[in-house]
Amino acid sequence: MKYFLRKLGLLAFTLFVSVSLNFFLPRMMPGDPARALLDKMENLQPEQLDTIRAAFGLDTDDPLIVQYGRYLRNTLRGDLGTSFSRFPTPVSEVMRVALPWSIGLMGICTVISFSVGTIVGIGAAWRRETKLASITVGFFSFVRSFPYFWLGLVFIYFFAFKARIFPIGSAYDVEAARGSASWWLSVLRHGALPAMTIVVSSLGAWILTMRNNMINVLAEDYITVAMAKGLPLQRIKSMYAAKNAILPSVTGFAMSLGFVIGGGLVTEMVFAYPGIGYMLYQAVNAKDYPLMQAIFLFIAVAVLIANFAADIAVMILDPRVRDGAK
Amino acid sequence: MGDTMLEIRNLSAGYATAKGFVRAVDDVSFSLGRGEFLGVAGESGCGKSTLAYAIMRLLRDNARIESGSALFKGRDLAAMTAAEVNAHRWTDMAMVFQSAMNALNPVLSVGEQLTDAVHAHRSVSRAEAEALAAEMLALVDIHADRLKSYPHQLSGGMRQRVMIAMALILKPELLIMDEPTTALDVVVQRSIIEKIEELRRRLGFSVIFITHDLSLLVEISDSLGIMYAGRMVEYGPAAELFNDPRHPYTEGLMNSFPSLTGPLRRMDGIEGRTPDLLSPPPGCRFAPRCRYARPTCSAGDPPRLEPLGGGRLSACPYPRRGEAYGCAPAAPAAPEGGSL
Repeated sequence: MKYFLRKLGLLAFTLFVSVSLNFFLPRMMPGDPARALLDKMENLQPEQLDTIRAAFGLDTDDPLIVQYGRYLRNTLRGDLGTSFSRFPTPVSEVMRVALPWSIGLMGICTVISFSVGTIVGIGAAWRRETKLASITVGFFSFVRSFPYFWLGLVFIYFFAFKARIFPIGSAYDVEAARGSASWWLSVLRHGALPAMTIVVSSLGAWILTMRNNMINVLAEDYITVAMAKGLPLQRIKSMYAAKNAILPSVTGFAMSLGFVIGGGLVTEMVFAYPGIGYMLYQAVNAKDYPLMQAIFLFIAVAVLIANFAADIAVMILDPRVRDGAK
Repeated sequence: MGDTMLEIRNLSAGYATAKGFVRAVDDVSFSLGRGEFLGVAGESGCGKSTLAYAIMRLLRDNARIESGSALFKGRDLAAMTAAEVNAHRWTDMAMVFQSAMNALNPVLSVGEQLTDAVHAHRSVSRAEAEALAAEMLALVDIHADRLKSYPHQLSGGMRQRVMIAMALILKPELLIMDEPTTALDVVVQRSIIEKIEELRRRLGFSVIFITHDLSLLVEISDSLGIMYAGRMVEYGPAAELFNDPRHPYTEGLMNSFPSLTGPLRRMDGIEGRTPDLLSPPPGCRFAPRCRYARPTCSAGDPPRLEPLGGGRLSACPYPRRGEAYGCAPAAPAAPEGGSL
């Protein structure tokens, strides 16, 4: 419990720090985002400039500390400002539309990849003398070395461009009624290729990590003791070997869940998938500072929360961590 | 000592390595009576642990029993199928490992690790298994509250006592202990050994106690076996063997440890290193380090254990003390005023 409270306190503190950094960092950068935006709109009268500044909330004559207070209040209320490139849509609305796609695609793929990879890794270590185990491990070590955007392009070429089994880009069929059965089906069809890319390219890492952990654990004395005690093999495999071997993987899993929000950048670009990654790409191109800032904030918060979740998961699985012994 | 419980006959076991087969246990024979306490001593790498693992049929991966037999109440352990081994192990004989920290699963509670052994061999209810676990803990002076504890919450000595409780939970007739006190400090060592002795008297199991520390064994062992480079070089009743060693290696081993009660002596140790078991020297394997060695010692097959009478056996062809080994100590090896 002490451990939990300590981690909770740490989470609150780091959240505060990252929210603050998100405010101060852009303001410490040289140049004025407002100026940069306004320079693009040539031949504006000073009055027009002022109107636009006011509309975007760029009338920054207040002292920094006042701005900071306002920023904190707005952020807590969920008001992240107005998007430059999608004016007058509020940033929070842009995020609300993009988030489900990222979480749906990346989140589900990360969970699938971790679960399948871990189970395969356990099996590959448990039966490591078998041919199947060495072939699996060899194959995924090979696939793992492909850059995933390249894998995505290969999949698009073969499955979308040549074979035309799956659509080339986007996340759903615009002609289907949103929420209808055919729309959901189109979501699945559009998601299939990016999902395959993510799962195939990340599976190898989980398999290898789990397999290596597992092989190390299998050499431990307590495995020999469990064998000597005549325990059922299933119990040795799960409660003695896998439960110890999975601890490092759990941390890695939670970390990668944290990167779900921003980590799909390249995949989403390759597949023109309207998630947060794709949104960030567009925001950078359009110099849409409020949107960028909001995305960075979301990524930071997601990573922090995932870290916290990892700590809690390890706490539940490992009694040593619970006692703060390790 | 009554009837024979375990009889090891010409047992050889070892490890297949890239460079060849390492015979870590070479043609070892001995027998153990019901309730008997046998101490096995030798330097690191002499094969004593391999012997224990071979008897437990716990050799893993590249290790195997090469030849010979190990008869437990007439049944050959070396010839058992895996299923037979599984049924026999822990019910008939159990093992305590060197480091209890590594031998206990860090993520399972003490109670779970004690009861799962019971459930694996007996159809009992959860409550019955837990009651048995609590009873075993009480036997090693640990309160039943500790069933809920995890290994890291216990001291080193407690962990080893949990390991002993775990080994005894199915009332085995033979307990093999592989350096059970090596990782503990002397005071805890003493308490563990007294505990084992008390439990043996109460429960009547036999013990094979493996250690590199001969001085630990003298007081509690009925018999002692001394191993060197995979071979048993001397065997006999503990007190006699200790007071009157009949193999130069035993003598050297005893000189490597200070006696707690006896007069202070120079610690001599043994010059040289243990031989490479991939290509052991011809003849007696101890000959290259033996200060009494004669030319004939380094030729032919390794000498076998020969009875000397009184239940004593030695693999030295010249099993007498001092000069009586057949020759005077070789001049260069003799230290000034050597006590050997």
